Amino acid sequence: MTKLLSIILLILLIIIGGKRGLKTFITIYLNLLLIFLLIIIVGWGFNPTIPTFIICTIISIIILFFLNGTNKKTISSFISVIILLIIFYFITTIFNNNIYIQGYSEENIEEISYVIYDTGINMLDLSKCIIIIGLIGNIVDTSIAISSALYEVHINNKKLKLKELFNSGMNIGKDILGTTTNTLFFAYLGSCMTLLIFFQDFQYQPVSIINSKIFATEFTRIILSGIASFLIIPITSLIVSIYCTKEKHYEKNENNIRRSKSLSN
Amino acid sequence: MNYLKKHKKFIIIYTILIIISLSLIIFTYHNHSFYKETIAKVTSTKEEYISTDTITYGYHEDIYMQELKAIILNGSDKGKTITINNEYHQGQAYDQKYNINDEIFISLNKKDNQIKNAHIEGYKRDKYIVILITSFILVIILVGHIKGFLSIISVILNIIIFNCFIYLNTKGISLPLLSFLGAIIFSIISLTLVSGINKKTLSAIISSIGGLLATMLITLIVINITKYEGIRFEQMDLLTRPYEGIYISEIILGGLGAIMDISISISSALNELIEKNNKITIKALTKSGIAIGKDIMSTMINVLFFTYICGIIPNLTIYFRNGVEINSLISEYISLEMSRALIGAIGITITIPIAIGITILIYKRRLNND
Repeated sequence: MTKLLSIILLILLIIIGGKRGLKTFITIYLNLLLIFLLIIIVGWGFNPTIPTFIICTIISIIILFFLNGTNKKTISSFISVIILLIIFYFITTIFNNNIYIQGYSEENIEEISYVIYDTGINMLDLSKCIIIIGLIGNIVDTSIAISSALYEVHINNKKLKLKELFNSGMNIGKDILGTTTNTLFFAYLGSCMTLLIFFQDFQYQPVSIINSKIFATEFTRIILSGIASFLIIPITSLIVSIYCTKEKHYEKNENNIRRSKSLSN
Repeated sequence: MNYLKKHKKFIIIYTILIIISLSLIIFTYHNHSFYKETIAKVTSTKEEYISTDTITYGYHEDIYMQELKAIILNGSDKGKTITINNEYHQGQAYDQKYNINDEIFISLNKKDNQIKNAHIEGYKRDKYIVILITSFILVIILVGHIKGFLSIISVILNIIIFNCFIYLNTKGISLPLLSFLGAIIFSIISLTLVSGINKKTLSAIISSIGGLLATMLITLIVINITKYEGIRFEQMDLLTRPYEGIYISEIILGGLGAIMDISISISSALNELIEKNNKITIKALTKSGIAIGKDIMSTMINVLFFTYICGIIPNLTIYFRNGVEINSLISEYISLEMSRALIGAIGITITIPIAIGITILIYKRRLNND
């Protein structure tokens, strides 16, 4: 079934997206390959933290530079994504070490009852990495949306100062915010619908839902993804504004050098 | 100073929000008396190595025993100190190590009003859930101001409607039908709140529903041809009811957000183009529509991909450690999540021409008049 679906997707992507569509298709499978690389590395017994960071960096390089080309927009998005990843490493670590959402809960333990769970892998570290991988897609998405729109603003009006550019970045961000929230909300609603129906079927009380591990796992992922894609808005706006206004000075300097050269000649 | 004056109203409202959030968080740290279950707080831990399990595939896992001293925080035994033994594996896959100050639910074994022993029932996570919710709200309002607030309203309304539909489902209405009706209502509410009541919202709503219908059509055809071949429904095993209906509903709702996103982006961009120049030809509009769609579709497809795939990483790692070949991991074990991601991607792609077509149809009269 997945084979047929991917063939349909490939055809649609090529009809509508042309070359870019083909690239998108390749990106999906490259990312899948990277995720499997991570699984193999963790499976060999390495601590997942550093591999996760390296793989997240490669993923954002693929999405930004392979899909969207190497230019000022993608470079500033890349810097913003890396900054946010570093900030989020600390936020997720604090949460992860306190809320205990690692591994499995009693509700889904039967799901794979024929396998052995205790395989020596530290599930606490792994669950932190999963939160970070879950949010990489949408921070890159929001970041590239803002940097391309803000760059257009800069091109059309080069006189804008850092603060003004930053403010228009935030305005663009406000427009994206609503749709990003919806995309995330429904994607997670789709993926945890089984869980919600399970709560309904087994008549869980609200209090026990809130305290249960299975709910906390999904909930932490949704909320931290959301927070990450909101925080990327000011970060990207700031980075793009700094980058654009700095570049102007650079151009000025270059012009001055050129002028002085021509004068001396 | 100028900045403060300009945003006076926002700052006041935001301060009130911060105060409410903080008091909510403080409340959850002290809400033990509201619980019927006995809660205890760990005051000291002592660890002892017990043994090492060697698993068939050559991996080993250390087992430890923790002796926890905990003080009971509520109920008739409030203030008493108890000792609990907690066994955990080093990997903490389904048991866990507790630290000082962790709050746990316990059940007490009593005899003649004396506590004989205690057993850990679960961990108290409510305060972290509240911290997550409040920080989400604070961040979205700080970044988005009024638009952030509207997003929260939209999410809350959607949750309420979703709960109504789950309730209706227990009354015997089929889940896929409910999800489809729900999707229509969800898209009306969310898109209206995101972009107001106007023509572009109308065309976005119609495009979303059109995109969803097209996606469902493709999915149903594929399901009919392949009969779910190769899909492993293990992750849905925790349910005691047939999973096909739930699978289809999950697909309907899962892609909806992305489909709405594409529809509103295209319809508002085309609307902008028509406003600026109403002599623009349909051909030019189609061309710009496709250019915009191309721009957003690839990153959006990646968003869906990572949202779906990240959840099964622990399972895949465990399977890998259990000696499952990497080939079969790729071809079989990710099939459920991968099929969802692929269907979502198909939805995103097919919505682009649909949204362009519907937006042009809606604005056609205006284009012809000029």
